[in-house]
Amino acid sequence: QTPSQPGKAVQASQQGEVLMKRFFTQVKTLQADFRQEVANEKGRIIQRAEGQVAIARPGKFRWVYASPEPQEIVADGEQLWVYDKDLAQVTIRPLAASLGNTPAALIAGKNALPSDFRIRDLGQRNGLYWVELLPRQAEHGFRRIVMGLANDAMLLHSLELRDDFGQTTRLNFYNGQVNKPVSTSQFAFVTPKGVDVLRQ
Amino acid sequence: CASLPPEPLPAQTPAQRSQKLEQLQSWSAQGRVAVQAGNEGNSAAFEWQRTGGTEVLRMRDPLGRTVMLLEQSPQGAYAKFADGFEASGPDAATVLAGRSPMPLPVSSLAYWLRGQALPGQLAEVTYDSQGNPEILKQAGWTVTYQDYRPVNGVAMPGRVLAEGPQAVRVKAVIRDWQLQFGNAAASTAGGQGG
Repeated sequence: QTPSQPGKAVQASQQGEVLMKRFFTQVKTLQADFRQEVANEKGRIIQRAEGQVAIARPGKFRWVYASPEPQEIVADGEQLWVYDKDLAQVTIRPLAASLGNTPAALIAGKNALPSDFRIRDLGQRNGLYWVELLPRQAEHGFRRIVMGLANDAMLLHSLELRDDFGQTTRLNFYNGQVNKPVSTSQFAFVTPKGVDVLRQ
Repeated sequence: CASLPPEPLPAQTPAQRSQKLEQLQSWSAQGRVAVQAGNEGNSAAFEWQRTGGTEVLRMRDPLGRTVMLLEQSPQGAYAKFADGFEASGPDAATVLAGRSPMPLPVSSLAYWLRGQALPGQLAEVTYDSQGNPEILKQAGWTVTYQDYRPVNGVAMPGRVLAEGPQAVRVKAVIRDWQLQFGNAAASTAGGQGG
């Protein structure tokens, strides 16, 4: 059963919270590959995706989906680009407006610690320490976030997000590089020729 | 599976193709859609399913978060959005009208996505050499089709661009089609129409 079962905590250690705080205070840049699974309310996997992510806190990230459809989500700290290759379209919006409710915002967010969440340590399971973050305001878009952390350089290994429709997205990160220099060109989106540019 | 050579497109006359689609009992389409009005717009992954009389359209952002859920059955329609807005009503158009200034003709788009004209309404269609719709004009909208591929004996479009009034554009790339056909009586032309 999934690690996010409340009450299944192995021991009430605070190690999870310690690692989470360390992630938010010490990790300035992160580059990793990721695999993503989206499960519907019945737990059936309805989408699998993979790609790479580069993060420079605060506020900069590049989230590249290689499959099932090529997409890029890029934030330079001010603006957010959502580029959809198949649709030949990029949507640009102010980062602050859209930042609040995305997990990318959570891990690349402006504030050092996620102040607008209620934090609960779920203990250890499957070799990771799990911490639950419940958004204080309802409009967060995500009903529940669970971080899976390990006491290693990468710290953040897994992220689980449940939306208001009972759907759960699980992200697993691997091949992580933490606090390595990341060129800022990674976080500037250049619109390819022939792509529609839309503002939201 | 990329290794198999793609099945050849079924050579059908336009009439044969539309007759076959009228026997459609349930279908699903998955892919990405972008909706644009003027220079504002948004894109999302979509899953559109119809089994029996119930149609469900779900839109998700790249990270899997549901942005919109729309259910429609002969009894009525229900919509829920990520920001908590919910509405129910007799049909999708009424339910969505409360939400966006330019509500999309969802029921019509379901037909157009499949390369079908709305039943019982005037339509102007030009066909490609395989007998599949290339441009379909109906109810003030112009729908263009590309990348047909065979699905269960019918050619289904991989790319659809629908352009409607007030510079509204809906661009869809369909990654996966599923079609189940019933006997002639169980055609989808019945039920709540366009």
